[in-house]
Amino acid sequence: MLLAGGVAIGVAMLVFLLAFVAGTRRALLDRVVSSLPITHLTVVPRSFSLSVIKFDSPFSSLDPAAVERIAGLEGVERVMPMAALKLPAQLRARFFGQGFVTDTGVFGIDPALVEDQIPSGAGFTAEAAEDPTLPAVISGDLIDMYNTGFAKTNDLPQLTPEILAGQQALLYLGSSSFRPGPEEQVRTVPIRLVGASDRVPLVGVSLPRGVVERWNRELAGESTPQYVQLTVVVGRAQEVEEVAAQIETLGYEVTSGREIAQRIRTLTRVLQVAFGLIGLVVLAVAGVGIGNALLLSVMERRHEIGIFRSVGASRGDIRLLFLCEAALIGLGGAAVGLCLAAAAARGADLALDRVLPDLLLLPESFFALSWTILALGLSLGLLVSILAAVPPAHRAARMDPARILTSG
Amino acid sequence: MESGELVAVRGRSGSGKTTLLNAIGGLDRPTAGSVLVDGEDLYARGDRALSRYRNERVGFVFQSFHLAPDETALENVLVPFLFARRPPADAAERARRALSGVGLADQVDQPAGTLSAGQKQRVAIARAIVNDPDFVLADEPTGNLDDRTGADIITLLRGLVERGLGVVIVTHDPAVSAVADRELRIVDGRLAGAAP
Repeated sequence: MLLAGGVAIGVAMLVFLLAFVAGTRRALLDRVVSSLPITHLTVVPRSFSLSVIKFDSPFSSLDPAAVERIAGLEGVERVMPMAALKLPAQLRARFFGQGFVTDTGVFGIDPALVEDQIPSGAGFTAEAAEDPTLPAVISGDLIDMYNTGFAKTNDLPQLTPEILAGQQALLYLGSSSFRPGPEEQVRTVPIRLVGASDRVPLVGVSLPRGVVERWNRELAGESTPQYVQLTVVVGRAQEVEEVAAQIETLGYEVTSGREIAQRIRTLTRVLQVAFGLIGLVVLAVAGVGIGNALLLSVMERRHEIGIFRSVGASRGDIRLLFLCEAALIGLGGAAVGLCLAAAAARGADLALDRVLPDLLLLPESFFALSWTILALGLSLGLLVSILAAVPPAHRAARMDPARILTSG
Repeated sequence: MESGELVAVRGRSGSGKTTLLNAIGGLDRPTAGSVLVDGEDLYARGDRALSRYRNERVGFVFQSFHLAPDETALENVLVPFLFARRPPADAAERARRALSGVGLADQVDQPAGTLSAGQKQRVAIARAIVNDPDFVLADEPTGNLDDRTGADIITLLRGLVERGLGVVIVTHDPAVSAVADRELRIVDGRLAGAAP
């Protein structure tokens, strides 16, 4: 029982750690794939840094001509530019009876970028009009930041995209708490929130791109749109790297979901190996315990061995007997270990659920108890037990039955 | 030694009686000489063949019984079938018959540890004969028994001879020699035959 306990703890630790890494990888990959699907590339102007200040290269602008060039590359299915309002802006709203004013960025996005994350019928289209209200999207991460920070410190209710949907606010174009302008130049636009997305900028509201381009033209005098970012959709996943390389040769910085996913996979693989080694060390210690205990058992059961030999057991039979016993200990211990790991994973999920705030990006579970991991735990528990039993089994098989039986 | 005879082996303590018995039974490889079974050298065979010989051709009875005390009489008698090449389908029935043959039909399900010394030795004899061997090799089978129980056990072993088995008994007991067909004495490390 004690022997099986050692195997159970070793297997439980191994499976728990591997399931945690696998679960974390799954959660991270889900997040990456959601914010930047593997066929999508994010393109920004090439930049250079001076200390902490980052400058866009003047030779790397994203204008309609650049969009056209990139759209013409082989393998590119679609290009979705993102514009930023060239004026300061403020957002004024009332939430739960309280007035709320903040400076904000205003971005113009292609409605197709968020079409699978915004309820259809919300009116977030390129043709959306200012009258009566403009549809706006905010970042899901911003809701998380509000819930975990602002709402807690100001004793305000938690928000969800569903609660926010339909919420109205006023956007003051040209107004800023840092650079107050003349009141007559400020233009007030009513907006309504239609949903949250993890593909829009964190700090700000995102509107249909045409609206922001028009404001830049009318209010900021921009003759040719300059985009802050492009989202490039590649037709086939295997062409992503090639397209990314072509865009880089045009002088832009490119980020691909595939590349981030690859980095996550590499990192979690390293973690998996490290945690796997920790679990193996615990299992090896359990194996040494099993080996010692079985050696003791061989000495205690020498009469039984002698009787078995006298009634026809061969050395191989005795060896097999001890190996089978060890296998049963290993199997039983590993099975208990798997149950312990599953229970510990569930417990950890419940504890994390209680400790961590309600974040939209939190996964349902931090653990992925796949069949592969369960089979690995079971096999290793079995293997370690059998290997540990080899020396005692060999010793039992080599015992001299005549000496055992005549020693009383 | 032939089937159907009871041979007593006598000698002083340490003279090598048990070693002789173990050598005959395929348990102890002699350092010199050979054991011929059906004209073939027993120890020319490998471990597996020797094990098969012990399982099928001979049965051992020991002075201190060597039973598993927590197992029932029936389970103790069934042990040789665990290592049989082809365990018979009626193993349990044969074990019950063997126990019945030694007078323990009503003790079949008793744990061996709860039986009297005489009953334990009967269980050991049942275990030795359950596989229908040619020989039963008994090492001081009455050494741990009182005279009356010892006499019963010798009668039981004698009965096996009447059924055609060969029985070899290593003993100090002159009463055993009295019922033996042949007595062998070991004197100064050498075997000397003598008629009863």
